[in-house]
Amino acid sequence: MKHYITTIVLLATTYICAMAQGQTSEQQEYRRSSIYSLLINHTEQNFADEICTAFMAMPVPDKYNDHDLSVKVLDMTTKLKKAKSDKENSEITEFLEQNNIASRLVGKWFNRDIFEGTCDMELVKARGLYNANHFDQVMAEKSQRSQALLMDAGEDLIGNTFVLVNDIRYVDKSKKSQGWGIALSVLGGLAGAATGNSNFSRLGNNLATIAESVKGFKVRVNTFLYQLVWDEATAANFYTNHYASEPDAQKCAAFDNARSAYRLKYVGKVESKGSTTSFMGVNMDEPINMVRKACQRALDENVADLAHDFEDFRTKVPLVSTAPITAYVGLKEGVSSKSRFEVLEVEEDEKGMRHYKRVGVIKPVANLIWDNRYMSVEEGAENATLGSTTFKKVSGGDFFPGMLIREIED
Amino acid sequence: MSYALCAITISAQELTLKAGKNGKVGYTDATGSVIIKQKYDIGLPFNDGVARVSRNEKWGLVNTNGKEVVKCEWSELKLWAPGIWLIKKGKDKYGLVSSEGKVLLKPEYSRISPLNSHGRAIVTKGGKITKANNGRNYLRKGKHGVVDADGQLLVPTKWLGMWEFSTQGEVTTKRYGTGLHLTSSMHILGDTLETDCEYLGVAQNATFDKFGVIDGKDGKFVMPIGKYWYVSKPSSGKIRWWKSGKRKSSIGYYDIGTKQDMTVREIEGPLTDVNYWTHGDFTGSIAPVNSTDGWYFIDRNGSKVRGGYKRLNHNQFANIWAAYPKSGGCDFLDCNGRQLFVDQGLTQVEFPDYRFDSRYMAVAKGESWGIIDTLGATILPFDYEKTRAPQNGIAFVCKEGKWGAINISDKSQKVPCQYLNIKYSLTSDPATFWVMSQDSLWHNFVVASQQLQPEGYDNVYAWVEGYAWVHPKGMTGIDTPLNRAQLGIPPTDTKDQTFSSYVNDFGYIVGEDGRVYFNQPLATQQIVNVRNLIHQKGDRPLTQAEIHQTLLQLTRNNRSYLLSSKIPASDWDF
Repeated sequence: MKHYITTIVLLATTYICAMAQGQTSEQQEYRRSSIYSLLINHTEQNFADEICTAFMAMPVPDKYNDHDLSVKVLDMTTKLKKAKSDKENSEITEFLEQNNIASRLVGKWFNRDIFEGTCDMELVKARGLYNANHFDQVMAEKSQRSQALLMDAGEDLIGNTFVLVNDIRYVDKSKKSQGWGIALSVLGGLAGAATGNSNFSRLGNNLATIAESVKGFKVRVNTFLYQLVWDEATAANFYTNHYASEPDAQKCAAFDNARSAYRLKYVGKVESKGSTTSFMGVNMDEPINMVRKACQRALDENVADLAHDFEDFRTKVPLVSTAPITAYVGLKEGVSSKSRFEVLEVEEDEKGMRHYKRVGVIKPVANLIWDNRYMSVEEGAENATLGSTTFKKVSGGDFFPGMLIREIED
Repeated sequence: MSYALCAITISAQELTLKAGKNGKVGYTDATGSVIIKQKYDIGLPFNDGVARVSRNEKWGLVNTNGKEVVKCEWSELKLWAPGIWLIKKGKDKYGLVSSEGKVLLKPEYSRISPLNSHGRAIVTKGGKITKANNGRNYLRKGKHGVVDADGQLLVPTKWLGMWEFSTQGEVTTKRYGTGLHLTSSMHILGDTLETDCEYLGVAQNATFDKFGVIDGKDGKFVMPIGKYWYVSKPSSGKIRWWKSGKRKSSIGYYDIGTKQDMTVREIEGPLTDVNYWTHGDFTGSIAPVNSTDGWYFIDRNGSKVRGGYKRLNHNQFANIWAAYPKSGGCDFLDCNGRQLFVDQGLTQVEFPDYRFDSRYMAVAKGESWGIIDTLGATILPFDYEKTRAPQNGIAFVCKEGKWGAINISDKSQKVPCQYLNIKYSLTSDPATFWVMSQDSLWHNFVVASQQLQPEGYDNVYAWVEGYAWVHPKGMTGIDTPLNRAQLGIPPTDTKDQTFSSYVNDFGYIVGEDGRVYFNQPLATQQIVNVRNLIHQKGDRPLTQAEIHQTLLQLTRNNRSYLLSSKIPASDWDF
């Protein structure tokens, strides 16, 4: 195995984003994982178009970087086989493999020109919060410091790239309320005419049917999580044989021919509870918001569950303040009174590698957990307007704004 | 369950929905005290001091004091205008109620349309939902009226036939000429009115057989029913009318104020045989009338004031008439029939298309053209075979069959007269012009260098922010799934939609420097997105990869693939 780091070089920490005392994290960026989110759309089911529209309108969860590729929607005319199983789903894995998704995620990290094969490090620099000039300078040295920098980027950034494949199905178990149905179906039709929203004409009369189910409208989402494999061997292969800063036909062809060498590993799967989403707060003149709310809540729930269940997928978010201790996480991230978070201090070793050192543990204050779920404010949910969750210290020393917190096992 | 009413008005922002243990909802204040009792099945957030609530599937409105300002008795309740709600009673009766609970229109209407941009909506009583030929529904035998944005019934629902004066009326029937005419409409359900309804044509039946004209503000007649065969929208207090008979027809004006009828001409035979413009609206105190002897102008009393014209032009922006006597020359008249300046032997005139250049016009003396202003002063001398009315301070001039451009302020020749055609720019003092060269293609002419860029195109759009969309001649290979996705049309042709009709809607983006900045087929509807991207990238030509990624990004919402498929490499961005 190659060793990239043999010489210890003490680097000044100036190129890391300042975490000076007294700075709030509103002024701070922090490293996030990157995700590529796909929809499995069941075209044979009710509201397939509406679910697709709602999915495409959803932003990337705010604790993650957008690593989407040019394909987002995968159609199926039948149910996904073994969707309920926690085991790796062969249909999904086959899609990911035969379409070389892993290599495309790598390509995106390095802004690889699909025609000429040229790459750059701009996205790595930006998401890694490196000082761009210093980064370029160190890389130009082609020294062990350069290698350390690449390893740092690899472990903390590129290796934290995930694919979420969301299998969304509409669950029709509602009690139908005729009065509601008629009322809202006309509203839906009028809404389309009055707003001139072309979505309504495209969606046809489905929105009217949604209205009949509005009290019990629910979706069930199975989210399958995969992680990009970016180990030493993969990184070495890429930097040596495929990374080209200038047009290089040979390296371009080499990458295209070796796409299957880049891999995703299956991490796990979660299923949303399928609870009925109330339409409190939904503007009844735009019933599509009902679909959006149901889908968004279910997907957010799954992202939170995945973060809870799988350590690699957990986000690290900065403390906003320390007196009181607050952070921009809440119900959307699955925070509950039983949650525990470790407080991390970011350190950089002599090799330039970033490490996270636990300096304490905190837990949420029970009635001060922010309800930041989608449309919680419109719904009039309790604690929707808190703006952050308040924590209390369980253990540890002094905390400073900008330190990161990450959920730990109960 | 405790229940408290506040004695003071609480602002809507302080009230939040709260579900009780009984599953019903109400509203609490910031302290958590129940302000509005939890007795509703559904509650929606407050909006302008009221919130929609529902109980037993009936809707109403509560204010911040918890008072049901509109009782929960409506099968539907929806915001129709600020402070006004559309209510529905039973299956098919609609009305309007204010946020204070005042019934503005009783729920006895079969339709109240949304308001249009002029603050008018159509209301209908009765009628049966019937499918029209276009597959959409209308209310057959419904009686129509008009309501304004305050919920006031301006025109009572009395009319089986009710029509607007709109531009659609000035379509193909030559005899009516320009102006707004009555437009037939079935008032399809879901459609809004088109106009401000200043005046409306109305009838006791749904056809144009016998109709009158009413004032849209109060529904009162300005012209009684059954007088005329056809009318145009009142203008300057007069209504142009036409009467048709088998042997004899007539044309004239009806004065709204005096209610006097004024016949200006009688015509042999029915009007359906007339295929020329018969008479025009009053533009001030004169109106043009066409006769076998040519055009003439009448005053408001119907007296002839000027005549003997073979044709007329009207500058709507400056309200000037150019009238061509049969004897030759051209008279320029104001809206009162006064001659603006002495006849200078002018034989033709071309007025500008835009209001801001209404001071100038292109005119001819004999075979020579120049530019004059509305006072008759010469701006460009009569040295040209043809000129076009100036736009943005630039006049196009033609010499020896070739076009060029002149700045009319400083008379500088921007483009020499060397080209088959030339296009106006959207900007003043443009740096470049599209000109048609000998190869019948459009090329970019750079004013500063006086040079023509070599690349020519079949069709071009105007320069915007330094970039233009162009369609090269003989562009092929456009029908691809990605390009269909740009338009959002199906991947294969259908009975109603074929790709071939869109072929000319694809082109490239070029810069004023002549370089191609986006060299893949781009649909015209994506121009703005790509132009913005070019700016973001520092105003340089996009690379192939960037173009590829852009097209995929623009079409991502319109593309989906089977889970079992191997997606073509061309559909991936990395």
